[in-house]
Amino acid sequence: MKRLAMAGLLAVGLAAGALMRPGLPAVVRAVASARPESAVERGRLVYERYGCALCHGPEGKGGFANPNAETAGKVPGVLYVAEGYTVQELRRKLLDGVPTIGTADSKRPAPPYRMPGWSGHISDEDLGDLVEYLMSLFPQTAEEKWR
Amino acid sequence: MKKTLPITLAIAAAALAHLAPAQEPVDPRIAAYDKGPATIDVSKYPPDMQTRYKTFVAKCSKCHTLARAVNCDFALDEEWERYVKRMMRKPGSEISSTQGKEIFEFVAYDSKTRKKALYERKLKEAPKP
Repeated sequence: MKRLAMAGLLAVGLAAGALMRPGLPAVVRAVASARPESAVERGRLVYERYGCALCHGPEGKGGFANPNAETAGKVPGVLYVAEGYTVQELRRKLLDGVPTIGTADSKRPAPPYRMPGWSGHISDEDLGDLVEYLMSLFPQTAEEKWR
Repeated sequence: MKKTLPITLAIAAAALAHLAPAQEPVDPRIAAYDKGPATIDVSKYPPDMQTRYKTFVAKCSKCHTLARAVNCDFALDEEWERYVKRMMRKPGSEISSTQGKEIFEFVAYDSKTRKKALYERKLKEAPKP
């Protein structure tokens, strides 16, 4: 009998909680459930979700300050990764991150920002989409043939 | 005073550590490259490659040891092209696209000459287009 009363109380509590919890607006639910068909578009969302834009910029142009980084004290952009990496190399880079940032001046403190490795934190699907997105950023007008 | 000093020092150390976190040591593979020879004997290379070597030395030693570029295991043209372009795009590298191409032409030639065995092995292993 006691058990039954407890279960009843629990059920009432859960129901009340569900009723009191403000529901998400319809527009937010629609956006959250919409999954873009294109891998590039999904990759753009991954880029935003994982905070890549915080350092590399919303458009991937980089330029955010990273004092004493050998890269002119800035976080590099990601617009040109397609010419510098194969898909496999880029996947590896995203999983491993950049644990060591070269310093412009070895006597000064190390640059405060480093790229985290996403290994163990990102699904294979998200990683693939992110790679597709990053590869898509390359401006075709910048292509140079050296061979 | 005696009691507060160590605490103050500990807080200061923690603050400094936060500002300048210890970086992870250089990848052992790269550290090994860094310990190798830092020059290439180009005296028998064609004059245009000797000129390109100067660009290679001037530009590639700006951000990392020259030994790293001299001793790394890149050998194929496509590997070098990707890598030089990657470096060229880094802020502050100050490698123009003309200089990048010169560097690429030098390292590609050097790989087929000085690293001939590695080049041929990698070429054989590379997937055919």
